Amino acid sequence: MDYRTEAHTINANASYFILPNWSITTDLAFTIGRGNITDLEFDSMYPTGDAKLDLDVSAVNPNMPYLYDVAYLNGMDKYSDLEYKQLDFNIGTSYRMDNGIGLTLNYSLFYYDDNAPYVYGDQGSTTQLLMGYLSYSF
Amino acid sequence: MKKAAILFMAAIFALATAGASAVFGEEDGKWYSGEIKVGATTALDKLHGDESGAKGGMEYNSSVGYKWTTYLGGNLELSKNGFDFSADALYRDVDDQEYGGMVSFKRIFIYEADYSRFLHRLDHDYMENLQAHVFPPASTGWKNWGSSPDLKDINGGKTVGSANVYHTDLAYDEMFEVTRSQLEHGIKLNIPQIPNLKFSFNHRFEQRKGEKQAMTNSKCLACHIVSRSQRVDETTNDINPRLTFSIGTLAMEFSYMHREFDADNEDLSNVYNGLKGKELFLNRLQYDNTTGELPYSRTPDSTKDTYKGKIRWDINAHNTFVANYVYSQSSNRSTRGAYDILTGNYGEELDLDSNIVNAKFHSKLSRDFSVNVFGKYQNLDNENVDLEKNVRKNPSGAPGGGVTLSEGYINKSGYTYFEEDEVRHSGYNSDIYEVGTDITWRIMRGLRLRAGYEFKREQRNNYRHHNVTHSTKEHIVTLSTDWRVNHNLKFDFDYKFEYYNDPYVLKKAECTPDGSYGAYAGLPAGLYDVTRAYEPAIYGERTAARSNMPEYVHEFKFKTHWHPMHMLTANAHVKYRYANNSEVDGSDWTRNFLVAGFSGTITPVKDFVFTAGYTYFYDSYDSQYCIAVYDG
Repeated sequence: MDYRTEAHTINANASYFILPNWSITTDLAFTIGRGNITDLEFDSMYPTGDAKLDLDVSAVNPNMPYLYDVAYLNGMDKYSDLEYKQLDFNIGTSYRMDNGIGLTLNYSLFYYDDNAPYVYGDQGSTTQLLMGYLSYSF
Repeated sequence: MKKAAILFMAAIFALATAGASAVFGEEDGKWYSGEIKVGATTALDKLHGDESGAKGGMEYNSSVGYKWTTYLGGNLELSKNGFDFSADALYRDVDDQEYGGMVSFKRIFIYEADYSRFLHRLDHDYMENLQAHVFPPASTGWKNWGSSPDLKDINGGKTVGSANVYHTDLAYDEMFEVTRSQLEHGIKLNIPQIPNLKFSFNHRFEQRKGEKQAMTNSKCLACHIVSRSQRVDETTNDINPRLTFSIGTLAMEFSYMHREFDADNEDLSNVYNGLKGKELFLNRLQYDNTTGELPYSRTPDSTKDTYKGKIRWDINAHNTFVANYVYSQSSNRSTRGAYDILTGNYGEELDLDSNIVNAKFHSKLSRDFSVNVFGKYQNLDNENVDLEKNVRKNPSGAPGGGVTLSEGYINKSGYTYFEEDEVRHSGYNSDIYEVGTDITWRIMRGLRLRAGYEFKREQRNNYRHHNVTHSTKEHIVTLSTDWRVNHNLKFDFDYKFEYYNDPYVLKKAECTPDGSYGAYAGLPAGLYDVTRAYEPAIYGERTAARSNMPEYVHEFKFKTHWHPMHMLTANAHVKYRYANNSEVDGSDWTRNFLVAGFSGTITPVKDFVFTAGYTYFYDSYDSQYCIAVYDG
């Protein structure tokens, strides 16, 4: 079998001083990631004639004709699948007065889209944070 | 800690408002500075408890677990009459804190400390891959489990049969997370009267507290896996004294590191089912319910001691010699209790010893030529483990009588190894030798060429016990250039070729070299023939070698930097690695790895900066496995 992972990432950031004491900054990072098994060949070899890796309704397996039929190894070739989109976005502004008092505001967006959850469940989520603080320098 | 943060902020505020000079004495210039920050963070989309797996992008972000968190931060710097003090603090919530500080007196005595604390959301394995079932026809009378929401992915949500492998998550609704905190602090002494001598002493304390997922077999069979929550309480303490001194052109450094890792985690144990009515199978189990509780998910306490010595001799302006020696010993302390195979006690600590010696000579032969010659020797010695088997007999009333497993089986080849005590030899034990040289040639102004050759030999001392390659010889050739065309344009190009003579392979990894069973006759027919077991009937019959290590590698790297005008900078980079191993049976093992990207920065006006970039990542490899499926 082959295992392949692939990811595209773009990132950008910008900062601008609107005034000497007033700045605005933003940054963004976006990733698309994929991973999967390809060319999975599950050859069933049963040297003793115990044809339990494939459907066998013959007298060899009268009780369990479907035992270990690879078709019923549910999702096996999907276990390794990875497909996600992740976006981190921030924008903030900071203003500082001559007397040392400043104000900072920041907005953050975290977006994660999990299109191929594995045993850990769907890890997708969207979260936004808004942060602000007053500062005083001396 | 929140109180400490508030007190710290109050102290800074007092200094800022009352005036630091009133606190520390007369004011003669600005000898203090600082900043305080007071605010809050609100989570517009709070992470809910039922999103235990929803940690994409927020694995280490604790603020998203609260609607509101505070933002208290600040820093303070004082400097006067040779006395320097600095401190900084940031408190966001109980699991997101950072503090740092430094006190110095004329740089003779320096004390520095850093404390940080953050939350780590751990994985929760719902084990939904463990649900393989058989599908018996109804006429056989075998149990059908019927439709189940838990099994909706099987058989199109229709009737399913008895479980071959199944799972029960007894902590389904729980979130697993651990808070990690770390304090690092230390002193440095620079005695003016002995300028060539410096001493430092550092201490690190790390703590991990929280809950993690623990798995074990169910009470009945190994094919039913259950998971529970386990309380985590682990601490690590490092102490690290260091002494450096120099005599003329000779500089030496000695250091020692002692590490204690203690796991005071929740002790989990399980009582497994007995064999009432199935006494025939008692001799196949080393333990059952008659032994009482059996431990699982234990983390051993350990100790590590590392001794380092380093010497640097600046022979003259053109020649330098550097050598290092490192000895370390890691010990598993949880094995030193009174011998008890059930609890893993061994009667003594299990040790891993390592010796590393390396040396490098650098010579600048001329203005345009320089050469390095280096060598390294490493030895790893891991202790053997004695395994003692708990051999039991069936009750006298059981079918076949009161016999051990080997006595009860047809034992045509004298196979009793599963009842005999054995010694497990470590695969770590090895000797590694390395020598190499490289030369740098400055061809012309702005253009340098570097060529190198390195030979490495890895000798695995217990290779016979693990059916792996005994000795691997590695040859590495490197060639690189960096060319600064002009002040605005620069190129870097690197090529590396690695050749492994007798690469690392597992010699009995697969069935047969052609991927078939070949002449394999299959399992012995007698159900009570001991040679019908996995070993020797399956593993012992494997003859084909496989590996995920290369025989040869080509690696190319390219970087360029372009700065055509004051307002524009551009970079591009590519790394490609191709690895192949044909010294395996079956198809070759191959790997292709590529990372490429570009970025640019533009400053169209004085107060505006914009940067953007793109990166592409690709990794693929071919593998071949031979998986024995349990048929029972």
